[in-house]
Amino acid sequence: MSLDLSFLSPSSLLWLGVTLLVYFTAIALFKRLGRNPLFHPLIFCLLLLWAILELCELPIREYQAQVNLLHWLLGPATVALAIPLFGQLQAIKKAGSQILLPIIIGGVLAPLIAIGWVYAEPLALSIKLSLLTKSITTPLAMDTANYIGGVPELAAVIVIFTGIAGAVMCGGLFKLFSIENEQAKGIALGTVAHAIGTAQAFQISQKTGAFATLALCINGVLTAIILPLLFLWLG
Amino acid sequence: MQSAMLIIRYSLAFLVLIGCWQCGVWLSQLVPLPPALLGLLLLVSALLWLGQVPKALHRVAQFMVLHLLLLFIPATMGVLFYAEQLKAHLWTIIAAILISTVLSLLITAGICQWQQRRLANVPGS
Repeated sequence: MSLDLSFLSPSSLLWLGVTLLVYFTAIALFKRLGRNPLFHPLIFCLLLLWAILELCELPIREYQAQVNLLHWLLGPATVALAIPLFGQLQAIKKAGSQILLPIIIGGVLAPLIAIGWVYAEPLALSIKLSLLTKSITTPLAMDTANYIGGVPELAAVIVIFTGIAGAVMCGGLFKLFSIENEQAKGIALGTVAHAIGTAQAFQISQKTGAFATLALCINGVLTAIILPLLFLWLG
Repeated sequence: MQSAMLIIRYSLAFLVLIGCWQCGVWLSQLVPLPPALLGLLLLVSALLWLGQVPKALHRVAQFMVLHLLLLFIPATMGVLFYAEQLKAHLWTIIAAILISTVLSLLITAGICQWQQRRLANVPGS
């Protein structure tokens, strides 16, 4: 992942501009639609950019090369997650380590059930492996999927879809199974549905959102540590 | 003058993030973990040692995390390469995601709620 200065060329700057424009339009639209998780900005970005690329007859690989800068920034931006994680470590000190139990169980179960479901299917192994990072935040998921032999771009899409599914269904599920405790709702959403679930948790209440943030950070880092080690151990 | 200092501070904070990441890239040849994760863990260790987050680093990190979505747009466009392969198994994959999401949401929330109730029932706590 090296950065060359080709992003300073006019065509690169043009495509960076287009991407920024699409991104901010998607965010504005998402806010306009009441932050409904079904209209997650990434869906809009992908569709619109795909249409633009088709129209300009620019191959995706060519586009990716033009906006190389954005992909390169993903590295330092993933490291930046250390700052919210640091904040959450202080919160765990206050809440006690028993708060980790549901996060660990949920974090292990979600990928296991998913891979169990497709285990016997005639799918490429790399696609099955990409399901393992479904519950963790996208940048860590891409990094980890790449490391264990999955497909990072597929991992990203699976993560987003998981988040949307969790955020859309949580209201009905919690009601149906009488989950009323705010901490329980927050922990579950953050563990299973990462940042999209966490945004949804903040819509329930500040307290729910705070617990979701904690679960998101912990599960993200734990999964990203455990999966590669597990693969090393299994050979 | 002050804004110049701010720019220098923010640039330094950004360089810290890049530096940690590069250390992570290098470390990942020795430690079997993904590079960006190693960079993240390095920075968390440094922050734990410091005991607090420097203000400029906090600002820069917050800004980057807020716009993370923008950074993975180019990569996710690559999913279209797999469109053919995915089409045949789309429903299996969607079912796998939906079922695992519903079950793990309920189990996680269930365990947590049970813990909370048990805590509430312990006298004196």
